[in-house]
Amino acid sequence: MLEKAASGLGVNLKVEYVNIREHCAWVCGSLKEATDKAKLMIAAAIEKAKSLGKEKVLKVKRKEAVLVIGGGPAGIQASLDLASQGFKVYLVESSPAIGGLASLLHRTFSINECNCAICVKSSKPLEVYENPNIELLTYCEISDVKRYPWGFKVKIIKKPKYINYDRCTNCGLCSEKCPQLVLNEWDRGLSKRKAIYIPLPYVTPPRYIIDPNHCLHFTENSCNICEEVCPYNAIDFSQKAKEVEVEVGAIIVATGSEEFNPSTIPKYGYGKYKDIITQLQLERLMDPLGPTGGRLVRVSDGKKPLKIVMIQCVGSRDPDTNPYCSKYCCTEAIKNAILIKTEYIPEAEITILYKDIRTYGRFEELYIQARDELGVKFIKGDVVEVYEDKSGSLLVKYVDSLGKTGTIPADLVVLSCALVPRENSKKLAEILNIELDEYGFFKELDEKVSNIETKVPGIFICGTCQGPKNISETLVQASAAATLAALYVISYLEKKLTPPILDEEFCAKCGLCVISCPYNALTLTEKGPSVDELLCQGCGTCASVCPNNAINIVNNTNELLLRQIKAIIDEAKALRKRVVIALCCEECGHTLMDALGFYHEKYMSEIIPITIPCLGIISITHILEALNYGADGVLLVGCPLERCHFELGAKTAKYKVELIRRVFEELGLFPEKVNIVNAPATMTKRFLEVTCKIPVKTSSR
Amino acid sequence: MKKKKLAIVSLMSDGGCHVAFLDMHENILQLLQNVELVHSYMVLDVRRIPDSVDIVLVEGGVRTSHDVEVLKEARRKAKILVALGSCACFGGIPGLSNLFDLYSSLKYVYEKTPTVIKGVIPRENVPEVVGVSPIFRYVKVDFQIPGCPPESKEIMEIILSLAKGEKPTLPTKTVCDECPLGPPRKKPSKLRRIFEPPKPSTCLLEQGYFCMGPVTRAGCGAKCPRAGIPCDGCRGPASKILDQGAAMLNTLATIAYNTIKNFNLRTYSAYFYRYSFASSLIEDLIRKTKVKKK
Repeated sequence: MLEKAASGLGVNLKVEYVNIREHCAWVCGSLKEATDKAKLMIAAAIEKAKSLGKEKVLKVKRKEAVLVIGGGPAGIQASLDLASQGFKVYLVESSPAIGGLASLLHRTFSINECNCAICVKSSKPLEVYENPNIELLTYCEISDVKRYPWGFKVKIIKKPKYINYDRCTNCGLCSEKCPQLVLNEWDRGLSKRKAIYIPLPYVTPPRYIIDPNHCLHFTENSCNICEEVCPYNAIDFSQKAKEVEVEVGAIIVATGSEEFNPSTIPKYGYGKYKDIITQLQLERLMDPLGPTGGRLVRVSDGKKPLKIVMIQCVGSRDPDTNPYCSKYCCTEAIKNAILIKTEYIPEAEITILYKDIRTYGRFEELYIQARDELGVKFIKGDVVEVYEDKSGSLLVKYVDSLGKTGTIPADLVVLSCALVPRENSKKLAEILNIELDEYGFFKELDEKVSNIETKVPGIFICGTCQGPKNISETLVQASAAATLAALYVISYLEKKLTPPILDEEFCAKCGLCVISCPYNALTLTEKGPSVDELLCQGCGTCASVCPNNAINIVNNTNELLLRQIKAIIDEAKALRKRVVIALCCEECGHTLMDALGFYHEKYMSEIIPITIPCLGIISITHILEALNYGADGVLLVGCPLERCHFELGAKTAKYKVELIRRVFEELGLFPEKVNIVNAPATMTKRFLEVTCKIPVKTSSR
Repeated sequence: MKKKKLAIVSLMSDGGCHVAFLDMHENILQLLQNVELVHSYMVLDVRRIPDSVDIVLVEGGVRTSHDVEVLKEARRKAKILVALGSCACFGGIPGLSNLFDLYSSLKYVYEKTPTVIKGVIPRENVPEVVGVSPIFRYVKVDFQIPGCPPESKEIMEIILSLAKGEKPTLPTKTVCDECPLGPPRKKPSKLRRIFEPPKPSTCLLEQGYFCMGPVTRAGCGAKCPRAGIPCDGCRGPASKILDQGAAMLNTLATIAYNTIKNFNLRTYSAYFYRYSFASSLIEDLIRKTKVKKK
């Protein structure tokens, strides 16, 4: 603030401040101690102020483009919101068509009559397809993401579709003649498709694609039928995967989730008996564009199911699989029960076996309607087993909440399965450098106040990739993510530049700084290392690793640090006081010292803090020289090892302290004088635990 | 112009630096046109240091009270006193014995060395043995010519420049500056020992050898790395390095901690402190602590 005010008056003022209150007054036992400590702190600050130079501030415009990963309802909504504000959007989808799990639905749940799924499975994807601001990249995968001050450079691999769309007219002759039949994953295995196919009749984009895992041309190198029959020569087997690179300012992750695979729990009998299906398969059966043309029949014999049992919480709220609640399944099951009773088979007997009914909010009305108006039977209990009796009819055996065992005969069993993270989310999290929670969903920065941001600024998450939710919640979150991403890309990155400066006289061009930089900000030129000011974060690892002290961080040079240390010790000698030099990193270390002040935690007044950018700047020489000059101890205070704000600083400092302690132990010197506290800013306890062991005889003698 | 007087004084040393001086071959004739050699136990039969000498080269570090006396005498009689070689500059290899206390060193040398039978530590008519020390701890040193041995060419240039009344300089950079193998392209991943043959034209540090090049003063032309042998640091720390071994340890702790996971000073000192232990910060700390204890 002072600097700003002064520059307004045309004065170039350099400011170094000493936090006497938190770092001294509030933590010292007596007035005398506090006064002495303040003197020492000021001596160090004066030494620093003498050689302060002005810092450059850099303003970087972020790229006004956003990458959306995942083409489900969340990705689609976010893309549309961003595109309508005029931003360029790259929508990347790993499957051949967008729509996600929602494109498999027949109806969505809603408390009014407008419950068709057309909007989410067809009209919104079509809007995406037609929007000139959205570049739709289906059948693509993210292979690499690099961070820059302006955003991200993203490498995308376009998998080959083996069809030349400039020529293809969607006539369908190829698919008709294709000899290979495989189960259609888009119909959840209830129908068959060809090896050259359009996933579902209504998907976006409506394009044929060749599945190389099943196409005989690729598997047996034998068949060329589609190529021969295509009247437009649109088949192109020679296509290869292509890599494209896009530059964006922000990334929205909306990769969605998957339905839990119930065959992993044997008691449900899924996969063993044909007439046990999941809710999504039920949706496909009811869909007029589904495998049965909208007739709800048994998979095994095509008969109308009259007794239907739905089982809730399959793979969720279950300590053996997933302890969380999947949120959507109660309402989904009740919605389907209502649909069957009102539109498909009014005479059907429907039983729902549940743990608790969680039709939260206004969906309670659906529950009441199903239970009271339509006579759907609800039983609270746990399934013991689903099995077939001798006559071949299914029986569901259960224990109800009173401990009574019962069996229900069923023509059709429908399992309401959990939503689980997608298989490849772990890989994506690694590429993006964001975290996953214990179940594998993407982890938000904070579940209360920032549940769309991630730990990487500029990467946002929305939809079920963050955790189970229903479609409307997903869309709300997607719109929010789009808004945050838009705000992010139109804002500037303001960065205080603290790049290293090179002293060519001493630089031997040994390149150690280049290989040790955690941000790859240095490159070796003929004159020595050159710095990419944008990549450099000013951690000082290069300054520490440079043996000949040829590279130094602006305003935090090695020599300055030694001068500061010596100034403190000189002053202390004059005051006949002992000192422990505490080198605190600007992030957790400095804040920890502040916190000690806030909490009025008293610690020995001999500890004199010096703030440095990161512990990575400290070298073994600093510590030895401080002890040699007369310090009674050296204390490093910094971030937790895995959470260093500059990647490696805390860890290397810990290594150095360990080495020195080991050497001192070996020589019979004083290992207890060199200490390090690696703790988050609020863990004052850890600081006190370490400092109470520093052997300093009471000073002021 | 009157020729300047030059003397070479020898303390605890093996005479290698003296030989390096003579290794100038016929160049010595050119040198003798500018200076007059007045004292050198190898080539002249002059017992005592003449009274007034312009330049005194002191070879070797301090090991006995006799060394201290000779050194002080040399300082008194010299206008310019130059430390010649790494023993005089930093304590050299004998400095490593400061890792152990004096009595156990003496006991080892005189009683336990395999070639000694019924040896005893000599006590009569011998000067008192003191801790190994570079000469700057006892007298003011005007210039240092490091190296084990120092480069003959460098010795000559420095003497000539001193004789002319100029201020000579040493290279400020490190051995890496002259080394054709570097720079390293990646961090070393595992430790390699000297008996494992190195890959050609690849930085030795990158391959995992403890090459002291990055912390050692340039000027030798990186002879050892050129021959595939890691630099052992004979020319001592470069200009801005306070402690050669600590600087190397620090660098390795940052880029390849796993190579020094098992670090302990007594085993690794021959790599990190072969020549400069007696002038290192750690040795300083040991000495100061001992003084306090006494």
